[in-house]
Amino acid sequence: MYAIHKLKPDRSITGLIPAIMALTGGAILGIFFGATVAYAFIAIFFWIFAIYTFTAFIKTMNPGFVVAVLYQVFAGIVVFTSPPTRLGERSSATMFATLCTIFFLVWLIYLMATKKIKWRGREVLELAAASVDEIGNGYTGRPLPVGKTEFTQHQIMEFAEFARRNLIAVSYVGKDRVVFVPVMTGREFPFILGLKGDYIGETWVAFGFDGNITVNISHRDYLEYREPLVFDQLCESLGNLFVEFMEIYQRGEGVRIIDRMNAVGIGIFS
Amino acid sequence: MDFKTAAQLGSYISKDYAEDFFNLLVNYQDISASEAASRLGLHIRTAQDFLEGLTKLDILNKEEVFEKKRPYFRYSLKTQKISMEIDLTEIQKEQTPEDLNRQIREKAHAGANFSLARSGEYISHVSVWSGEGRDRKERKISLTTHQGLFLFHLPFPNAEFLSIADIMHKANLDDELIPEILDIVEVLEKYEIIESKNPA
Repeated sequence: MYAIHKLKPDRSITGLIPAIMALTGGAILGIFFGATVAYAFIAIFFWIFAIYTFTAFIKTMNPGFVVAVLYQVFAGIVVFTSPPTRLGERSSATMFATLCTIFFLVWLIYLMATKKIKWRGREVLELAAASVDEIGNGYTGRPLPVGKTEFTQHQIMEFAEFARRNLIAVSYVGKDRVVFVPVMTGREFPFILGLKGDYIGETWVAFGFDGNITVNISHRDYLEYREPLVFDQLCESLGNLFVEFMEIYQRGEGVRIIDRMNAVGIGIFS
Repeated sequence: MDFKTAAQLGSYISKDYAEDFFNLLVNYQDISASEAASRLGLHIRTAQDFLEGLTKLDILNKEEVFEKKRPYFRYSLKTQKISMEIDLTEIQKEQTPEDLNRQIREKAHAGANFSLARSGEYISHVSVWSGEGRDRKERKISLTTHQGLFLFHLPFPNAEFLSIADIMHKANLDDELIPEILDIVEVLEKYEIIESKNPA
C-alpha cells in the first residue's frame, strides 16, 4: 500500500555520526601513528558504543539491543586483532570472534529490517496526523487536556513498560501520572544517556492516575509536518491514538500496535 | 471615602513632618504657610503644598486675609477627627452575565510562553515579551492555581471559541472564583494573548 506521509522526509544523518566519527578518527590516527593505533581506536569505539547500547537495553529492556551489544563487542575484538601486523598471530579465539561478529551482524540486520530496534516517534506522529486533514495552524506551547479515561495506575504502568520495550515512547513516571515521550530515530541519545531529566520541550502524552489525559506537541515536531495541520485536532488525535494503543494493549493484542506502526511505511533509518 | 481620596490622605499623613504640622493646626486658631514653615523648619513651598492638599481633602478651611494690600491665606482645621474608611467592595469588579458568556480563545502567534506547573496539570505562569530590540522586555505573570487551571483549558488558537463559563466548567472551577478569572482574562486580553469573539 502506498502511503502519503504527512511528515517531511527524514534527511538527518545523526544516526551515521558515530560511524563517521570512528572512521574519520581512525583514518587520522592511522596517518600519524600507524595502522595498529587506528584499528585499536576503532575497536575502542565499538566497545564504547557497546556500553551505550547496553545502557539502551537497561533503559528499555528491548532484547534486540543485546544482539547489538554482542555484535559491537565481537566486532571490536575482530578489529583490534585485525591490523596487518597481527595477521600472522590470528588465533582460533579470533576466528571464533569473527564468526560471532558475522552471526550477530546478520541477526542485527534482521532486527533492523523488521524494525524491532527502531525508535517509533515518526510512526506515532504520522498516525496522529492520519485523521487530521484540515489545515489551519494554531500552534501553541500549551498542552491540551483531551479527556478522561478509566485506566488504572497498574494498567498505565504496564503499558509504559510495553511502550518502552517496543521503543514507542520513553516514559517518565511521576507520583500522579505517567508521561509518554515518543522518540524519533536519531533523537534517542539524550534519553539513553540520561541527559534529558525532564520532558520539557518534547512531544508527550500524559496519563494521570485520576484518568486525565493531557497532550503536548513540541514546536520542533509540529514543524516536521509538511503542512500546518490544525493544532488542536492534531493534539486530540495524538491523545486518542495513545488511548487506542492502551485499549489494544489491555486486550492482549499489543502486536497489533506494532503492526499498525509497520504499516505506516516509514524507512528503517527514519 | 473612595480609594483615590484615601490614597491622597495617606500620602499626606505619612510625611515625616505630618504629626508636627497637625500639632500646630490643632493648637493654633489658624496659621499661614510661612508661619508653619518657619515653625517646623520647612521650605515655604512644602508647607504650602501640604496645607493646600489638606484643604482639597476638606480637612482645612482656607481664608484669604490682607496684610496692608498683600493678600495671603490662613488655614484652620475644619474637623477635630479624621477617619479613613474604604469600602473595598467598591473596587471589586462587577460581573455581568455577558462577561461569563464572552467567547474567548488563545490568540494565534501571540508569542507568549506558558509554563506548566510541576504537576503538569495547570499553567503556573505566562511570559510575555514586549518592545523591540534592546528595549525588549519580558513580563512574567504568575498565576493562582485557579487561573492556571482556567488557562490550561483555554481553547487553542484556531479552535472553536468557548465561553468563559464553559471553560470554567471544564476546569472544574466554582463561581466564587469568577472575579479572579475575569481579572486574568482582562490582563491577557490587554497583552493580546487571548482573543474574544465579541470584543468587550
